[in-house]
Amino acid sequence: MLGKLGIKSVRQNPMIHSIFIVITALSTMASSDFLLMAADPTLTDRFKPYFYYPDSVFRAFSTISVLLLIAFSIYWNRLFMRHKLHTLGLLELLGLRRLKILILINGEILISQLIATSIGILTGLLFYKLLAMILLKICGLSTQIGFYFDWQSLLITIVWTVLIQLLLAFFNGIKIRRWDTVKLTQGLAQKNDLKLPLILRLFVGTIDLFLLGIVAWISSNIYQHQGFVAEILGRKVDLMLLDLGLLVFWIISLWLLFAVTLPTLIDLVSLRPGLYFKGLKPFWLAELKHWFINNHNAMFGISIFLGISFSLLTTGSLFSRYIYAATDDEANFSIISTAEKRPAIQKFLQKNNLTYDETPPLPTKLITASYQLDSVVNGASVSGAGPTMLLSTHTFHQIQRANQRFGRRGYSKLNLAPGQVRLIIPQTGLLKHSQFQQTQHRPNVKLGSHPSFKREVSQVSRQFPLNNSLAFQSAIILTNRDYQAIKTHNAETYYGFHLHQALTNEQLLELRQLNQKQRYRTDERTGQIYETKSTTAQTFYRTQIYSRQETSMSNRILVGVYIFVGVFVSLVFVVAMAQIIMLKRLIVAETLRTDFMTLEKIGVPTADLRRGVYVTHTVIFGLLYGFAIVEASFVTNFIKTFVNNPNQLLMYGILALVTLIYSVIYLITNYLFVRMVSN
Amino acid sequence: MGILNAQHLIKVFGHRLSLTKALNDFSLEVQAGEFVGIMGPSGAGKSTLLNVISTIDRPTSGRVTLLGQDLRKLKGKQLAQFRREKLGFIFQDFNLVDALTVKENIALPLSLNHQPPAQIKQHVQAVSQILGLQELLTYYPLELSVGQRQRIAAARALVTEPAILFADEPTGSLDSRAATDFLQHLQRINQGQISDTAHISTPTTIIMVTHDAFTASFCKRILFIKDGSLFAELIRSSDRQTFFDQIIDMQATIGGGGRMNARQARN
Repeated sequence: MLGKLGIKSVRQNPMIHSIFIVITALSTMASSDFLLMAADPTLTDRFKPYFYYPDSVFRAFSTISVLLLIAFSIYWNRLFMRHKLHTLGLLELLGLRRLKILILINGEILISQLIATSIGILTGLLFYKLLAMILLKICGLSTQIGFYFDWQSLLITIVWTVLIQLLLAFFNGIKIRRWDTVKLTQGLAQKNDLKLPLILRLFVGTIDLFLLGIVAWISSNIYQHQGFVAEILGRKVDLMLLDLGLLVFWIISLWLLFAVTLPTLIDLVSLRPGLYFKGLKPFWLAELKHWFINNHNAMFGISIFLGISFSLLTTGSLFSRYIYAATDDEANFSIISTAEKRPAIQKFLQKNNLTYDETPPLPTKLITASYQLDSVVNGASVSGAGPTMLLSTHTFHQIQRANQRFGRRGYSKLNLAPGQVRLIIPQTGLLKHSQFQQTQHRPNVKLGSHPSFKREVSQVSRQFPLNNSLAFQSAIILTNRDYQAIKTHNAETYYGFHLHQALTNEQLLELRQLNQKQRYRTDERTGQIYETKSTTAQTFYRTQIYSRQETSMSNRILVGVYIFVGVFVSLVFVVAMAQIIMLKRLIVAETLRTDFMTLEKIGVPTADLRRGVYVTHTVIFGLLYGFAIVEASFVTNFIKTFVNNPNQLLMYGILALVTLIYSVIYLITNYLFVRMVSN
Repeated sequence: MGILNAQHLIKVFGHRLSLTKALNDFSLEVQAGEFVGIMGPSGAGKSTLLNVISTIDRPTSGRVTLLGQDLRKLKGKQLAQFRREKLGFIFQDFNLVDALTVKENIALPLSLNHQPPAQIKQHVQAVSQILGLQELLTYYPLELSVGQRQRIAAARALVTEPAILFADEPTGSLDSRAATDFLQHLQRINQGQISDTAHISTPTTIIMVTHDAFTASFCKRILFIKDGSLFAELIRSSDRQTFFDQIIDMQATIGGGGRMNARQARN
């Protein structure tokens, strides 16, 4: 009897259940596919050379998917219970025990969950091969992947499903235990207005908008504006603390925006009859105000979660540029070597019949060991960079104040005066320089906007004039004394090899085997003195023979996995968030049906009503989308400083895809809303 | 010719196999300033008739001329504009917009007509005074009693100064005191009175569907419908109490009892 009632209830509430089924199925698919990836030895073996424990990494992604599903399920359950409260209250009045009601309600959820989990597992199995191939393709790996099945993965998915069901039963049990039957039969009252007086709300709203603006402004370029904050506060500001502070202020002001500011803005409009009483405006503005007052927590939560999703998508695509930036997209497969090892490299290349162009000798002073330096020009810290770190000039400028907090071991501070400085650029920059000499093609170089840095660098860049050599716009400024010290200990002529084709894995391994007895090491005390010491072939390979192909590969795999997971999980999340708005709007549609009928009867054309629906939904969906973009831009602005020439095309491409999916859900919401209110 | 003229109205619902004739060759004429009641047992076709003559529904056949306009020729935007400018509606469940304040609910039809703010304010004040709503303008409908809500619905219907007001069971949700109060307001509106001393420019024609004899006793004329056809017509010629007795008797007659049927049975 109860089972039949459950099935009937699912069929009677197709909208709310279909949303649960879609998201649960998508998350289950994601989770079970990550589990299969973790279990598939063909796939994990392919990733093992590039990062530790790939199976654990995939399992972690699976857990993240499940955690997202749990968060969604709890939220959906809350909406579902609200939707059902009135009916369940009536059932209790008819004499059904609360335990039976709990069984009934969870039975209904269980039916949906069983359908969703089955779809999720089946599609997971079906699409495993496709997804694994996409992952490998993004990572630039070529391995044949077949269909894969694993009992353990299936069992884990089922266990998660049962756990989610138990969790929902637990929450619903508590809720049902605390029921007030009278309130249940009356249904939940909705608030029409805020309790605070208008003048107070205006005050709060003004502060809120100011806060939002200031947080947005500082976050748009946190390194640059860090100084401004320090000036206001009259003391040094720790970057992490500033970040945390901005996050807290953003969260508070965003919540206030939906809870107080937007309803108050609508109230302000309503005080101007000339603006307010125009056609259907009063109805839609009141509906929007009502929506914000009763759904501000949901709007706030969704905007934050959408922001996280968008950030994952955009930063992933930004990082993708790093793959190319870390190597050199004009000469993809190159080796740089010391003079000592040059014959060995030449022999290796000839033995393997690899065609190449050798760069002219690069009599350069390179810091090949890990070396961090905080440079100060005219009393102001200019940069904090190691030669193995690639930073943009933008970063130099932005990071200058952040570097003031560094005083740790191995990180020395140099007080430089103009004219007492030297410029050293990392290996990749040298290759760029050699290319410029050969091709006379000027690389794309951007300078930071910090005036002192720009001036000092241009004065000292004798060997490698700016705009010609700084492929990655990274440099370290040293005093003449330190420069001479490094030159003495690290004088080396380097040779670059531009290969015309990619090295195979075997060839790369062979390259690694070239023995090297010594390496340069930074003195931990001063960070300036170099010693030689015997070391392994692996270390030598990393420090003395620099193969950009391998760097490119490992970067590509890391970023590839990040993009794959980011895009996959974020897409599920964006769909989930958009569907939650859809669900909430359709619940509103049910309550507005009578209003629409009334409005039609008193002479509102149907077209005007439809237009009103579209405008309202554009505001709601648009606001959330807009804030998600703003939040993502904060994150990308932060990340962008660490990534040279970010791949914005890919970022916009992925954003366009997400926007398309989001827009489709927006259009479906419009369609269903209009259909529901027109019935 | 009257303000409303309906000729040979037929309205059929349902599919081919189960057709229901809600209106069966019904004709009606209403003059300006009348307060007409439509009564009849459940399923007699009262609400269908009201819907058909008030542009909400269309007859299967027959012709309705309202304010000189043939309703068959009105469609889409024209129909919406006609409703907004010429007609007023009051429903049993008030059908107020809960998210709007009383003032905004009343002003909504004027806003739809794109009237200037000063005129909106003036009209809202005037109609609030007629219906005694001045003190309630900043409240939301759900904060008020059902009687007050029905007065707001009436204010919303009257604020555009419609030529004709249609009311479908307007006292159905009200207690007797609220109903009396509301009907007295309607009566005043129909007579063109604001108070005992003040008058509005034009009396409003009212057509009201009700099943309640007490409510109907406020009308000047009552049409009794049975099975979609006109069964009888009562015109008020004396005081309200006498008229009420006549209505009760007519209701009994429709149901098969009543003095009229009793006399026929004796003969």
